Amino acid sequence: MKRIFPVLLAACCLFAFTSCAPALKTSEIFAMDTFIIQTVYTDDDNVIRQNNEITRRLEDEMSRTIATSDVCRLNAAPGQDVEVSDETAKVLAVSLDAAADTGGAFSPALGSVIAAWGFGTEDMHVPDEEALSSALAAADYRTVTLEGNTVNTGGAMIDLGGAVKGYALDKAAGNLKAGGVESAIISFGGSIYALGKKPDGTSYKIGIRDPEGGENDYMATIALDGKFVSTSGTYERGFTENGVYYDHVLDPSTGYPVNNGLVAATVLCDSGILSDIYSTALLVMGAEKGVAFADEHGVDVLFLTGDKQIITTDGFAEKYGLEIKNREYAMG
Amino acid sequence: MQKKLITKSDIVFTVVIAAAILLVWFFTLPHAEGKTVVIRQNGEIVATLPLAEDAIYEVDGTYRNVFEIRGGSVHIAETDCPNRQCEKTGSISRAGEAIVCAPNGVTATIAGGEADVDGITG
Repeated sequence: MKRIFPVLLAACCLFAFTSCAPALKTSEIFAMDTFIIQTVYTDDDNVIRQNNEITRRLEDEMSRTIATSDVCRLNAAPGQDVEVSDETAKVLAVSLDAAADTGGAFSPALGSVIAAWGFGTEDMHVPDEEALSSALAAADYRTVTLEGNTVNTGGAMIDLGGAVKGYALDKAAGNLKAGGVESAIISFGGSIYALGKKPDGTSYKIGIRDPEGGENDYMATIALDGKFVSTSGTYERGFTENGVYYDHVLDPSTGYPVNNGLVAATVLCDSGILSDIYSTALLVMGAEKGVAFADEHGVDVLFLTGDKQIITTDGFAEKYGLEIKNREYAMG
Repeated sequence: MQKKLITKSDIVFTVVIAAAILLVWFFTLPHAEGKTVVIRQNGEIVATLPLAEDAIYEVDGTYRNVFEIRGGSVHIAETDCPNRQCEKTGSISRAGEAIVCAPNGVTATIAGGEADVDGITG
């Protein structure tokens, strides 16, 4: 009986040293035309697998290239009522609201314009003006109606590419929390969600891609804790024709790639789908309008201009511990 | 005589047990290893190679990616993929850096060592 204290002490030591810190699990799959990378601290093998299943399911429902997807079925039936899944209806509803809210700077009905440029295919080219103006005329999100799960495109071609990754991130984040995970970072093609802190107690650190560098180069870092971050850049997925570079971020009002002096917009907020949508919309809006919009909507944005100026919402640097790594960039 | 709550032998006993536990804990810690490059195809790890040893590793799939490890870094030496993005990435050597060949579903990521960032948005 008298050894009860030391034995208890020893037991405490045992628990302290072998404390069940959840194991690190990682996964990398290719889906939604990008890499889905997960780093999760969990002892539950199912969480990561479920997230991959969510991603593949959403891709099957909303891909522009899988013939049986809701989006392809919608685009194959212009002007007809088409039943879609709950999730497609949800993503479309958020996208249509955001289109109205951003004054059309974001549009889920740009399919015909994207197709005219050939973005996402091997045949990217500058469309002739006639083809582009007829594609643009058919790309009005206001012709799309949604009632319950019934969609009528009114002839517009739906493309949810600017929202579905963010939505998948929302779903995956929800699944992590439901699975009791306290620390994780998941990246869906550069749209990132970080949950909690790393096991060493520090925040997850995110690099903001350097537009002039390679895929592994970043010009600054921020700390991410419980938020979603998404970046749209003009440096991605573009092509060069006759010596001119054309990027894939199209201005829905002109049908041409954005040309407003910005090269990237990084948006942070509490929603994956909105960070995804707003990163595109704010890049299209331009810095001045974009900052005003972000302020109004309680989200944070960091713009990079072609002449290496950094423009942000007020207090961004302090809020996210912004550290500029490439000294060629300066706060504008 | 009043009994002491904790005697000298209790302390010795505790220290011995604590020391034993510490020893076991120390030897079961994952030991820091040199950096490796982890090559994945369609999400599955197909090779884990030490960066310290020069080597050539070829991945076949829809397209072909030839990785070359030389002087502690890895790059794509040869590929027939359409956009050649993987080749343009150049050499990588720092933890967390990656070469991505989307058309072939292939990635090569540097593991081991402390990564500077946990992810890149862009």
